[in-house]
Amino acid sequence: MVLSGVAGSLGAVAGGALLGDVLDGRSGPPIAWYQIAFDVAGVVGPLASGAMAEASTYSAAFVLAAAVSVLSAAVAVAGRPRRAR
Amino acid sequence: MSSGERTAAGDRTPVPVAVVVLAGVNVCIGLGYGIAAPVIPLLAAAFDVSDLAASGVVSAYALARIVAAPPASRLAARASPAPVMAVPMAVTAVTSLLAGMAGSFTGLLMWRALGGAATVVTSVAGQTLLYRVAPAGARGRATAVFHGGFLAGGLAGPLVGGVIAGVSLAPLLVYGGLLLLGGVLAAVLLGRARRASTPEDGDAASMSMSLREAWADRRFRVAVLTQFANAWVGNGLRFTVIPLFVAAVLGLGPVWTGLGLLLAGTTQVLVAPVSGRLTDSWSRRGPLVLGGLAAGASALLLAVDETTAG
Repeated sequence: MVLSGVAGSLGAVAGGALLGDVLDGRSGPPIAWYQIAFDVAGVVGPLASGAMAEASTYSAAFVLAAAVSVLSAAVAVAGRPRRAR
Repeated sequence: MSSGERTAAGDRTPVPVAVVVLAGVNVCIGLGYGIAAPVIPLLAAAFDVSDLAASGVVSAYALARIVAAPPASRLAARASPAPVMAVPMAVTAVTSLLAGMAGSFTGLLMWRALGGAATVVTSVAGQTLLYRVAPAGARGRATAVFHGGFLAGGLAGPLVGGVIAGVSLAPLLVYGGLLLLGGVLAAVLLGRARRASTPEDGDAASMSMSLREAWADRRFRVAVLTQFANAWVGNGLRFTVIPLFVAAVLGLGPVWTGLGLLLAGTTQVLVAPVSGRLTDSWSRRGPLVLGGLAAGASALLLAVDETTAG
């Protein structure tokens, strides 16, 4: 649970700062879609996890969650978000 | 300044006062939400409807948030974000109370959906303000303060809520009161702070960025996927599946789930300033990769727990 807290903090803070970099002082729909990504995952995540836990085991749901997380880490590596535009 | 990445001054750029005010407003929202959230499922159950219909109240709220987000962002970009943030807080306060007093299930559903739409206008306007006032070199720390405020409120909420639970409408009244307090804070302090910190107010059209323009930027796609993964594990899994898992597989009581959630939440608040400093002085990518891997590891550890327990 401690590890999950550290992860949540790093992702939320660096992800938010990155959104700020993209906007560079501007605003509008990109902020909405960043928010929507949160709300959609908040609905789909429990549904998909619950369905997997029911159909197979809780482990399956946890492995799926780990896969989503590792995918985001991989995209962060590939996306080179440190580059300025 | 187009990017604050790795600038020598990065760590010394101060976080604007407006961000601290925003965090204060977020404490009110998070605190109120933490108090009111446990009451909502009970409201639906009171109408003696099926579990599916009861969960429909939660879905309607989420769906309304998703649908209302794009128009909210356009409004916040065009109008002054401070009132766009404050007015829906009053609307949320009223709709939550009306939901609590609803005479029918349909009424409850309607007031919750309206409340959901109002809360997303507040969320989006708050972030609009945050990214408008935070300079590139302080964006990590500013996001940390903003995010930490909401989380800290959300952590304290259930503790305060435990004290007033049992009195039927009290949690919703307290939620409404906290929202009104936050709304007044936002309207009074942010109207002034914004004028002080953004001297070059461009015209509305140049201030707004289209989704297409953002999507063309790789960094935006990374930010959105990170947000999605983070909410999947940190919100979806943590509050729904893990409590079931603790009870069914580990055979432990709800107290242990509560302690676990408190531990995760407290860690998240305590680590936020460190994440902010890392994001500003090291890189954006480092914390993103570490965060993704740590979330993956935390989920895998739970899978191992099941194997060893069962």
